[in-house]
Amino acid sequence: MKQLLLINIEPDNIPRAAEWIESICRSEGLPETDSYQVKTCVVEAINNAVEHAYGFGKGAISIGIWREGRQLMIEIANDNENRGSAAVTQDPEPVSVPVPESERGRGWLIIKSWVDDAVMDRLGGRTVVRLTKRVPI
Amino acid sequence: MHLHRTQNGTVDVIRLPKRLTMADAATYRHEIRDLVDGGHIHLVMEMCDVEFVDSSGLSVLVSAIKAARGAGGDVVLSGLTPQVQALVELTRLHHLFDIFADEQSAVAFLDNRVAA
Repeated sequence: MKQLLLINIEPDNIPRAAEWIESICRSEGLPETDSYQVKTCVVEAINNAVEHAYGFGKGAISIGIWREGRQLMIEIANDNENRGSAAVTQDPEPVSVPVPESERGRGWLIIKSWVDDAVMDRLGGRTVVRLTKRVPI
Repeated sequence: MHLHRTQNGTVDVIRLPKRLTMADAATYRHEIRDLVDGGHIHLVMEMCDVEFVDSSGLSVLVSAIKAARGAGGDVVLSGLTPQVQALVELTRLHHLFDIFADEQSAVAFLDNRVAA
C-alpha cells in the first residue's frame, strides 16, 4: 500500500517528513543505519526542490513510500506548473566527489551513494525523484 | 536560533544543535563568519548533540573552515555520532577536517597549535 505525505514547504515540515519516512523504513524491516540513510536522501531530495523550485513558504511536496517485493520505493514530487520555465528543477549535480573545499555538490552524491537506485524525472510541470532501497532478508 | 559558544583560552567551542540543515544553514554560516571576522579563528565544532546533518549543514562546516584558515586559524570537529561520521566520510570531508573523539582533545590540539 502506498503511503503518502503532503507537506507545505516550511522549514519545520522537513524534519516531520524525515521522521515519518524513517519510521516507515524501520517498520518495513530496514535496519537502523539504512533507515537513517534513506531519511537523509529524502531530505536531500526535498532540499533540492526547495532550493531550485520554490524556496521556503511556497508550494508543496508530496512524498510517497510503498513496498515492491524486497524493495522500498520512495517518490518525492513537487509541482512547478505555476512557476513557469524558470522553476524547472535543475539537473542533479554530477555524481562525483566535489573537492573538499567546495560548498556545493554533495546532495546528489549522498542520494546516489545511500540508496540502491535514484532517478529524477520531469513530467510536464512536475519534478519527481524516485528512490529504491533493498530490504535485507 | 543562535549557536552556543564557549571560549577556552584562544580556542572557541561551538556546540552545534541537534539538526544542522538547510533551514538554518544561512544563519549559522553568517554567525560563524561574524565570529571569524571578530578574531575568533580557532574553532572547535562540537557535534555530540548533532543527530542529523544534510549537505547544507556540511556546507556550513566547509564555509567555516575556509573563513578560519583564510584568517590564519583553523576549524576542527569533535564528538561525531557514527551516522554523522559516515556522512563526513562519504563526502570526503575527513580529508579537510581534523576530527577528534571529544571536545577536550580538540581544544588541546588547537591550543598546542596556537602555542607552537
